[in-house]
Amino acid sequence: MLDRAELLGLFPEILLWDTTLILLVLGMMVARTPARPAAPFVRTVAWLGLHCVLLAIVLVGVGIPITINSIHDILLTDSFTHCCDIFLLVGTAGTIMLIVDHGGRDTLRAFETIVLILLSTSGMLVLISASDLLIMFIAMELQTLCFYVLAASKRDSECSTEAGLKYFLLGAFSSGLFLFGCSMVYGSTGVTNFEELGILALTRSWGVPDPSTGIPIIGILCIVVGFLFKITAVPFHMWAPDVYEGSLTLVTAFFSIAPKIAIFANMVRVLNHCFHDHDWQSLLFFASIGSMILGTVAAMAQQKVKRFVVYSSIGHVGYLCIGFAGGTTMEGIQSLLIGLLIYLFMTVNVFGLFCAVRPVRSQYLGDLGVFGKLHPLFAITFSLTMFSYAGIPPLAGFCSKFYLFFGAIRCGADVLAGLGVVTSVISCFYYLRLVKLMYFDLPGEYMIPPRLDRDNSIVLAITVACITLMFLYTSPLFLVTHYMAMGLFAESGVGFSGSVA
Amino acid sequence: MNNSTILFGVLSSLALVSGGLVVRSGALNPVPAVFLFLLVFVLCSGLLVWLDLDFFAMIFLVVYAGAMVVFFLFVVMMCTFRREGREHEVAPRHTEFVVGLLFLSHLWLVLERSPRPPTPSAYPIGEHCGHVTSATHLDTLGTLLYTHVPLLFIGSGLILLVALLGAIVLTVHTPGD
Repeated sequence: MLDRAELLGLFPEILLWDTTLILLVLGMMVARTPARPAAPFVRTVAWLGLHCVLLAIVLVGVGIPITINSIHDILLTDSFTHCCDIFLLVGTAGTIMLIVDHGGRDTLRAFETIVLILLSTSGMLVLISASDLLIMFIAMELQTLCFYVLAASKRDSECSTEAGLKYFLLGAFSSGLFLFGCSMVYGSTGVTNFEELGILALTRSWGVPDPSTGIPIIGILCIVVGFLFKITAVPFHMWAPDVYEGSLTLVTAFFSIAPKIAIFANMVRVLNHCFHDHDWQSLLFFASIGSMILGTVAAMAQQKVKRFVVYSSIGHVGYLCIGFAGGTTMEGIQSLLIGLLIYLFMTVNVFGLFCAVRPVRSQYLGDLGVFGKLHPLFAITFSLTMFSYAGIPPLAGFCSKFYLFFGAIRCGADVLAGLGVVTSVISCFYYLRLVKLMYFDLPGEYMIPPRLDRDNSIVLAITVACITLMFLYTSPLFLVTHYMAMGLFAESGVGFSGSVA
Repeated sequence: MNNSTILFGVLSSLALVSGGLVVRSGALNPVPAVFLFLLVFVLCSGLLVWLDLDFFAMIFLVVYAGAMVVFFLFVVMMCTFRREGREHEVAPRHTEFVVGLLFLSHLWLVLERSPRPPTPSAYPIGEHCGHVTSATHLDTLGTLLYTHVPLLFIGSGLILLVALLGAIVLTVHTPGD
């Protein structure tokens, strides 16, 4: 019983599903024709997929972000999901733009990669607006199943196969843990809907003697641990370096950009709506501290490019988790969203640069030497992004870290803010080491200078402009994130908005 | 203790033992492990019958025992395993004892504080309500799944599509590659 109003909210997902199926059939028909070489066709599919994602952005953008509880309350659309959808699609579009040029040329031979990326994007769109434990699990599985295949997609490489297997095993384990948490929550409360769970938690915090024992803490912890696995926070990060190292660079770019947004959005939704008892808070506190420390210490010892990026992203996940420190306060959520958006821009930029450096296999950080002379524009872009990662003042990364620490101090988590500042200062060391390496070191053998293609250059130019010029005009960013946080908080705690159906 | 409780105890304890043996013997030789796995699924479907969930019991038999385990068996039999020297790689025994001890203590904790279930009264009120026309599980499930939460169903369909696509991408070798 889907009525028309409910289907309207699903338009971007429906567009993605339909286009994916069309591209799949098209690809199967064309790729099996023996006369046609495979490589240019990947470009075509990637190009079509890019336009599909752009069209989805338009569809999301023109839709009015009203609060809709659709399809028997399993999806919830509001201003928060609206903007998160746009961020996610922008991130995906950026990644596909990198693939358009490199996919056909280098190593990506199967057009199914694009199809899988589109399918997992649709899964993440559903995940962002999920409002029920069941649809949340299904969307998460749709997304991660695509990722398992993507990680192992380079079959002739041993690293890629190993990465796929490792990702699959640990991902399935974390999904199992997550599902166990869901079943504990359902078993002891009898509801799976986020709003109803929120009402239960609310009545419990009011001291109403409830007939059941409330939401069990072990269920909440299992769900949060499942989340921490997915966002590669520290005690559960062990799969990330190998998986990111083993898979193709383009695939790694997608891994480290898109799911972060979707899972953080979903995590904020769950922790804000269902479990505002703060039973989970100490776990996130610990994960945040651990991620910051490990991201800093381990990135210092890395020699390979992708491992370096992974550990730096683990550190950034730690900084983002600070946003949860004050329970779910408005400022915390807002700073989390700011940090997420800026992280998105920086990561797209970094991967755009790394995709341009060839040969693709086994890149070492030392190979970046003398790029300052070989390709000055590349070197300047790279240095700016690294400064931004480190949090040097006029750049965007500083803004994100500043607001995260500021939010932490406002809610009294001084320890977290202090530790964040210390690790941030230490991390400057290795970000600056890369810049030094690029300008002052002379390696024994010279690399082929990077070749930046047109689409890649566009992506890089846009992201670098965002990173460097953000401090001039920050109000749109703050307004948008404030608006998102408002949308999130308009729903929580009250939870009596009726459904359309 | 009536017959039904005894049946439950037998089924669940057999399932527990064979589940433990799957983990234990899988390190040595995978083929018996797969058969024990099959046994676990069959016993679990027996438990589902005990719970009156007949449709799910059949699904367990058809999908898990009939399709999944057969696939496992297929893969395991196709692969050749070198068994020499692998006997020493099995995890030491005391881990199992620790896990078992934890399990038993947990069981004791749960049983100690669990409230007694209320005994059903001899004259239940409204016993015959809702039994005039009875819907089977399949009816109820179909109504819920296809009409009320179709998105879950569509999502599962997409997951199956991804699984199919993944199997093709990962295993089928085209001559061009």
